[in-house]
Amino acid sequence: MRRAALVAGALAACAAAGAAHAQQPPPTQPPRSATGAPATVVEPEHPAFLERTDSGLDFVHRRFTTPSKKYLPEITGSGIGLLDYDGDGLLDVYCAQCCPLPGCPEKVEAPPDALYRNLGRVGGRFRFERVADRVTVKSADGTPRETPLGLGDRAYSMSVTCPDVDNDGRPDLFVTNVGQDVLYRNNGDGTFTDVTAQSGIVDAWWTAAAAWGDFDRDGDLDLYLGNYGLIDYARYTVCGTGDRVSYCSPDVLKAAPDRLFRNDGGFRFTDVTKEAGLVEPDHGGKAMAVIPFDHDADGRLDLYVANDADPNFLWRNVTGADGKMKFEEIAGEVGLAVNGQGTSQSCMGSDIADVNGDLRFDVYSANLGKEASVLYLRTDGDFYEDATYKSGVGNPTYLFTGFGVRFFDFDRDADLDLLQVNGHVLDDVRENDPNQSFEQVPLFFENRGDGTFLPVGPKLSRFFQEADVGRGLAVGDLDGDGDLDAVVLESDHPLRVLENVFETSNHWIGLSLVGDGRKSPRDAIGARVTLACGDKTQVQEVHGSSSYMSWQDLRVHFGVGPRTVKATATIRWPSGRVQVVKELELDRYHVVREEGGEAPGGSR
Amino acid sequence: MDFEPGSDRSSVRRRRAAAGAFACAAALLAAAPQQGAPKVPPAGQPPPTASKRPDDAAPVPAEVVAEIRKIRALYDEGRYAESARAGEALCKVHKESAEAWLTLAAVHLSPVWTRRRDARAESASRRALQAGGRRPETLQSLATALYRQAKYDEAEPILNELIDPKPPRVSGDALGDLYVLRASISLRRDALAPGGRERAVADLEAALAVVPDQPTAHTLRAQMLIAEGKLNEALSHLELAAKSDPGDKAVHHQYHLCLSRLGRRDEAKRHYEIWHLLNRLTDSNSATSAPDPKEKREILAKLRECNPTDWSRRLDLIEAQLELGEVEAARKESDALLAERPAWPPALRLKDVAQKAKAGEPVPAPDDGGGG
Repeated sequence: MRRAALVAGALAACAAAGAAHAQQPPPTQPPRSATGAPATVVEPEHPAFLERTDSGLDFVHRRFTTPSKKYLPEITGSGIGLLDYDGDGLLDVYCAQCCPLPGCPEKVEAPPDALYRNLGRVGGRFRFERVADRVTVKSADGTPRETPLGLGDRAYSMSVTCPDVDNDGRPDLFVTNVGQDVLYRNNGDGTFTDVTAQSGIVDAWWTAAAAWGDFDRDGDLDLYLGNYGLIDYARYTVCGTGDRVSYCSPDVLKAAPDRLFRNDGGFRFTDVTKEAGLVEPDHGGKAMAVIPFDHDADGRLDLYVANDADPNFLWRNVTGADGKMKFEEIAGEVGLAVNGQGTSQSCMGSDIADVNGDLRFDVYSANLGKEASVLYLRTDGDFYEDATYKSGVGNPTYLFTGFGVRFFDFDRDADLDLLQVNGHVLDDVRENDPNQSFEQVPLFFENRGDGTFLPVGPKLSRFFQEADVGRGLAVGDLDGDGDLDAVVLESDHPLRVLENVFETSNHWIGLSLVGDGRKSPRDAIGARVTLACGDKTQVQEVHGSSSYMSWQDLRVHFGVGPRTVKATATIRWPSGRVQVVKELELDRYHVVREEGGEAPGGSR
Repeated sequence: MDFEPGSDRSSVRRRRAAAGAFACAAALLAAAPQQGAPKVPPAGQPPPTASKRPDDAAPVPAEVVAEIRKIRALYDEGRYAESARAGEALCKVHKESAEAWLTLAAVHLSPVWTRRRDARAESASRRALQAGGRRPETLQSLATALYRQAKYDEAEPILNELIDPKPPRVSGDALGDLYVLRASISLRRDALAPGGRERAVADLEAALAVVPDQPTAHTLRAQMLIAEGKLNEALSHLELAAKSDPGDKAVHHQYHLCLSRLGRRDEAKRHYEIWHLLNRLTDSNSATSAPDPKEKREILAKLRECNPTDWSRRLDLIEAQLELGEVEAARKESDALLAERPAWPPALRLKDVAQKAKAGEPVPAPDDGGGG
């Protein structure tokens, strides 16, 4: 009797609580659209990025969907490259394009990739022009003649890389494809030559990412191909239910092995994958991003490989004095293979930088919606700690599928901020999950100075309030004014060009590094710069790939905040030489050429 | 990173998943007057939490009870999509049955079904709420569904409603899980907010006060301590987490990293090996990437050696041996297991299967824990 009364009382209390709850005001969280876009676009409080639609960069990416098949590459591509191909000191832009695949209803000629020349600021604005298929060059006798540009890859292109393969001081071009990749030599006269056939780079896999670094320290750049899988159009597995075709899970494809090619000079390469010990553990990994960096600060470039739905790799470079490349896989041991829960994620675009100012490199990879992008902070010893949530990036990225990512100091306050472009991989995701959509807004995070981040995108630009399908992202100083701009490739969309217009009195310094071309690559990929300015010390590396399928401005750019004293840069070149450059003036770029005596360690 | 209790694919949790997912529905049914049908047994899950079904609530129709049993059976067999379709059909016919809606929500709250729909779990939970009122089981289901969709501001008041009354409206394992869920919200949403960390610590400690061997609470607490550099303190939590759920790869992953950072490389190596084997076993369900039956058996045999108290994996090993027709090995393994855990029903069942297989009877297909 007494118990029944108690139960009745409890029920009444519950009912009252329920009624009270029903009358409560709606939750404090604002209504959220699946795209992440606000209901109405608001004017940015502190404009930092203005979109330049009149820049002449009128490239329109096409993914050419095949509804009856829904091939996986349709949802992953493509990237862009920033390179000064004509040596005029301005960054030009190369854009990867896709093409109709077997069964595509669009019966059109495959469009080529496109190169845009930077004309500098015209009328106070960025100005680019598309480079035509035929260009005028000067003959040996000085007379002008018309000749083919020499580019024009029409395959299903993925990533763009722009290394100086032959150390002649001019960036060459390497484009990865679904199928054979393409290598172009920069002829130095404004034209290119396709040297794929002679290069020895034979790779029929679907290659998502490529990365360059002097892994054997012989002074030239070697190539790591991050392969995803093999696309067999004739026997392609179609996924879906009933009549509805959907994009397959990555699990359906067998992972293709990554490849390592040694640069033998003269645009010739040798596949040394097996000799170098690059045997992928377990069932391998589907690479989406590859970043060479010096994990253990031993002067040899290691490789971080972000894999889609498989454990990531960290190939530690253990090449000995004989110069024969050798790697061992240590991602699991150091905590980079999986997230803090011990689980593989759908890692895509990635970047590596010192985000918390401890002069050690941290690793960031964007992931699929409901995974959250992951930030691995370097801890003591060789280890990394999953700091996704405690850094503040976990919650804001949780429902977003991220691709292009890049750390850079947009406001020159001496810490690295973060730009991430998003867009789900499933064009019908909303049918299954009203919280997500194919188009998603990009995100911008401001570093609070200690490696924790606040999402501030809408305050900085309307760009961060507009949802689309973001993929490639390249960051660089397009107009040479000392702040960093961005170019974003979105699927089936015109290129987005963002000019950094943030007003600040903070100072900066930029270094354009030139290796000696004999013991270090000319473009200094792999160099590490430690910059001291007053009480602040920062470190950056020149990376031979980062973000997503895209090539960045290779100059190192430091914001130094309000400091006004001259800076000192300590450069550890790929050769191992350490060069200290003092009395560097702020607010300008400095060209620093490698010099000094014999490189230590007897590098070849 | 998923902080949610029981959300990974550890063997123990995989086996508990069905029970856990249906705990709410089963609890309602256990307390419900039913027409012409016995109560649905809890089927191995922890005792249901106290149900607050109103005394005057209509009895649960026998056909609903029977259908829920079928749905549960489908789920137990790993036929999640069929289970969900059956749930939808049940709800279509019995729109006013909170039990039906809660069952459907339970399917979509599955920690292991990769195609679950969190939004459907939410809408079904809301329908259960409409049909049956603010019962603890329904609120727990709704809070979990909201959490999964990062709707923390909506989930948190519901959790408060369940946890904060004196005494709390739930008890035992369910209360422990809810504390962990609320701690997870603090760790995610309030990571940079003042007091967020402290709230998480308080909830994790409360969870451990209620359920001292709550593995997720121990793991989360360990992760927080590791982040603070308190590695030795973290180890004691990891030890308890590993003891409570030796098949949880998250624990071994953290254990290995923590020990490595302390320079205890040999001990770390063992946990790395366990993590690596568990990960290889669970990382993929696809035909192209998942281990084939032979590799699976080899992995499980290695796990038996390096992680012998992972009883669920020991069962998996016997099943794998049976699948490969290694009947004598399966029989021996079940004997070995029974020597360590006398009269353990699942081991007895597998021994029986092995003995019958030896006599020529077909081996029933094992539950692969996935698919659907």
